[in-house]
Amino acid sequence: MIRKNLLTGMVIAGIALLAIGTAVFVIPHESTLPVVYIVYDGGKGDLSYTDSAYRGLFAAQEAMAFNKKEFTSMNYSGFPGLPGNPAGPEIPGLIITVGYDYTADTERLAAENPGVQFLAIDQAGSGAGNLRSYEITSYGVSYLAGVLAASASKTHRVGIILGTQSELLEGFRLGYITGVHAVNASITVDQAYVRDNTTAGFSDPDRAAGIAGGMYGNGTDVIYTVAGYSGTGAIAEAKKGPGRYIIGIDSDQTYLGPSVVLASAIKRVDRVVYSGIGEYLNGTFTGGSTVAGLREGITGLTYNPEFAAYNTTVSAWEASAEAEEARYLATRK
Amino acid sequence: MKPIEPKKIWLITLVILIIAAGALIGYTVIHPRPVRIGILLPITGGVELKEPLEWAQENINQQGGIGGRPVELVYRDTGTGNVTAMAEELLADDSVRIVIGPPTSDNVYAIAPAFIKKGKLLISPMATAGDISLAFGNEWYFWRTTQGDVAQVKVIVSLLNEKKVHRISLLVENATYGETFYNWFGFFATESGLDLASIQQFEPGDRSLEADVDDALQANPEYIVAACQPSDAAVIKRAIDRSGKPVKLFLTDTAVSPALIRSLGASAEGLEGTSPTADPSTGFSVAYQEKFGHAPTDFAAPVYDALMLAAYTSARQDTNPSESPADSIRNVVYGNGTRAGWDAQAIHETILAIQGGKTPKISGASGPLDYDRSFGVDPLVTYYSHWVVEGGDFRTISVLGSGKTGETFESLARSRASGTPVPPMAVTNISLPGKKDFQAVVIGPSEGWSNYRHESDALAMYTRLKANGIPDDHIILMLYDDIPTDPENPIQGDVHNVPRGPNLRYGADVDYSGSQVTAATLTNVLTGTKTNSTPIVLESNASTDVFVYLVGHGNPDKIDFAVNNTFTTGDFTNITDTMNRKQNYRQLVFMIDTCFGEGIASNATAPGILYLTGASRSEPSFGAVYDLDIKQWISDEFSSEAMGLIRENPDITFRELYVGAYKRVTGSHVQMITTGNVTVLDEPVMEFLKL
Repeated sequence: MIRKNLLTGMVIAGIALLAIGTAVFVIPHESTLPVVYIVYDGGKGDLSYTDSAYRGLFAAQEAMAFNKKEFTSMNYSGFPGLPGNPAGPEIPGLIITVGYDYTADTERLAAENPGVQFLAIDQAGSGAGNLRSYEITSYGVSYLAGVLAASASKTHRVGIILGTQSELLEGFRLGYITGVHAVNASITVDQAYVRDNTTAGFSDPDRAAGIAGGMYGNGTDVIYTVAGYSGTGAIAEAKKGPGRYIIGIDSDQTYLGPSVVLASAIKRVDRVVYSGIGEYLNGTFTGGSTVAGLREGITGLTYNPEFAAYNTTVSAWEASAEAEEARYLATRK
Repeated sequence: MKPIEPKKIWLITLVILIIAAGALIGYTVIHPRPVRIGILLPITGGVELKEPLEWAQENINQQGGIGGRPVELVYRDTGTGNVTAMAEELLADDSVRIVIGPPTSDNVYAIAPAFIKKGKLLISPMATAGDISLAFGNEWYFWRTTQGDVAQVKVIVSLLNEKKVHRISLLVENATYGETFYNWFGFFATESGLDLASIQQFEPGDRSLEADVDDALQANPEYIVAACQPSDAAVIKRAIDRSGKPVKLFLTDTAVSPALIRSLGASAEGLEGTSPTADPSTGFSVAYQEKFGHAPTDFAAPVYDALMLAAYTSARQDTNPSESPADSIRNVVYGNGTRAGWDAQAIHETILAIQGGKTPKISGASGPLDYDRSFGVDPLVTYYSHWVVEGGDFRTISVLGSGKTGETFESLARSRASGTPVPPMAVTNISLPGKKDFQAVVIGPSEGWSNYRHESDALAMYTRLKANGIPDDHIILMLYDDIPTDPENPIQGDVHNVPRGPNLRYGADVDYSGSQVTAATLTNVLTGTKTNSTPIVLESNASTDVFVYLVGHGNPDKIDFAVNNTFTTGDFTNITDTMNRKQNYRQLVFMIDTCFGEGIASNATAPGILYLTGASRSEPSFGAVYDLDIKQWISDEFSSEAMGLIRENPDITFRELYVGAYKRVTGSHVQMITTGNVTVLDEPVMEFLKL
């Protein structure tokens, strides 16, 4: 009788063990992956800056194991995992903020959250401790854009349209003018801002179209658009007449105007995002200030195949562009 | 050899059983039973749908699938065989509870009723006909992840408005694809004040197309909008160029093909149009390009979303096994809280939340995936790229959403006229003879199974008149009358007006049927002209109120009769003038339910006419009430709503009927025209329809 009970008990215990094992295996559980926040300077779909940052994030998620949360504004009181918001389900290990607009907020947030790493893209300044400020300087690539504009111009009058007045965009403006004048000092450079002191200038294609129309009307034949999504307005304006050209920005914008976009000054925000996440995950992420541009391959000119012949002319100026970029950075400091 | 003791045999058997049970459980844990989702789409034949499907599958399964169960795709490649037969296989397979597909709207009509009846979910990412949501709305077993071509029409009209275009012509192929454009362009053009100068259907690939283009050009449009295949688009473009007129061509998604550019060469430059795409703010296109090295095809995002939706619904079903699949998908699409995304992490988090009993707010690769709250079927917003041909390729220049999202919004396929209808002024200062008689003429002039609704509505009106006390000798019923005996009618002898409703044909006294139902017969009937072939006609005088109800097909300025003839605007004017001259009526009320109905009465001047119709002169009207049992539309939108209003309020006046129907009718603008001396505007309809 005892043997029989023992046997029955063993059978029940065996099945129970298997059942518990099964339950533990299949019951859904929250993952404990490291968490990365990214804060964009606007919504995805800008065909430019934010899309490039997202491309880097997506590529990182394909290659590495982590969880992410995306935000489109710096309303960090709503960040779920930070102090002051105990409802948050997880603490981020890395917060990436994209865009110079976030400079002050990122610095403040980094000071308040010493246990979190911060990667501040396109934000020059005081990287230290848990904050890496990563400045992408576009002086060098803008210099090359200027060389291209001067080489392509038939009217000896070129232009630049900037989204707004800012210190960051000064690098674009100065680099471009220097590049133009390096080729021919007598060329006139028209300059205009879509908006004076607001980032709304990066999302106003109608206003940019009006400015571009005015420039083309005055005899300008090549315009460098440093104005985010607003640049699409300038491209549309260029299509309205022959002999009007554009140098695009941030990502390859050839497809927006294959007959008018000569080339695009690209900014590899995706690479910065990707490598930042990689370093955070493998433990090599450090604070401090980084400046990268032409020499580091973070910026560059990519050509519309229709106008690829300019590559030969312009590439001869690359060494000068890098040297001028270094000089600019040194002078600025 | 010594025999083994029975006890030992029992023990060995028990040990083997335990090991077997353990192995079985272990195998089940390591290889859990998959969640099988049917795929009823073209997998071969040039449409790349496997890529987004398998990416969605990978993202669902990557972090544990649905409670540890991986999603398995059960393919039925519609590019290789009979879609209905494949659908029946999936319908019979009890391990498949949700099917993604079918690819075309015709397929949906063929198979959706069976899925609905069996309680199995069908989610189509590609069927784009507008009337699908009207046919299967409220049934909750058919859904789609694209709003379809109604949304494309709305986007095109918005784009043309942005361009400050005032006048357009529409050319659409006379095939299933063209129908939604034909049906909806007039509505949205009317809504936005765009002048739709001409609207024509043409036979795909037919030589007569060039003449149709010439006709369209005669209307002096700024743009011709064409919904057709690339080869016909090329024909249209060449015909426009030959005319030398500065008319631009705007195309729809089916025209997007390298073949169009090859065919037209340099003259393709500057062509523009629209194609479905993903909402750029989801990042799907960027991610797709990064993952696969090329841009997604038009339907990649809706296909991805369809599988995601199926996975969420399966998760919900696992957690709530007693819930019907229809309720499960409703709980999934009508969630709340922070919107989840579409990537692997978001899918995993959403599945965990659903399994935890929550109802998170979902969104997809294609856009927000907010659905019509009271009707289901359609997402509220679909995105379209506005492209131009530039440098020998199709270039996207902007992306536009078709509408707004939110709990109070409805699918575009349920759009109704905006604005406030302004009924004509009532006439009170004239003296008419007292009413001494009432006579009615009810006409259903269409033939064929697909026109069931016309005969059904005519019989419904006849029945209502009878129920209001009008004897048969005061009603002239002209009905083609082929539906009761049509071989496709599964209930022979029957015509009903609501699903499983009474047989309205039973006892109906038809005065003219079949080939007798012609425009000439109607002319004689209304003008009281007795002949050998028209012995029964109106016998009315200046004290007779006359009511005419006609439901059928219309074209601009004409109504189709089955026997190859038409009733025109000129006929209407002549008849009403004759009736007036002969003093054949006191007040004459028309209810006309045809496409472009307004045009028929546009030249009428005879006094005492009140003309109520379901559509303006530039727009078609719609069928309403789809009967799943007989797979056919059984009523028309205007008639159905008008009868409903009368049922709800038996004292409703003609003025109130107009205002009520204007607000309720889907897809067209109800119109009321009065000539002078109309005194019945504020009279209850049912009082007028009395002896």
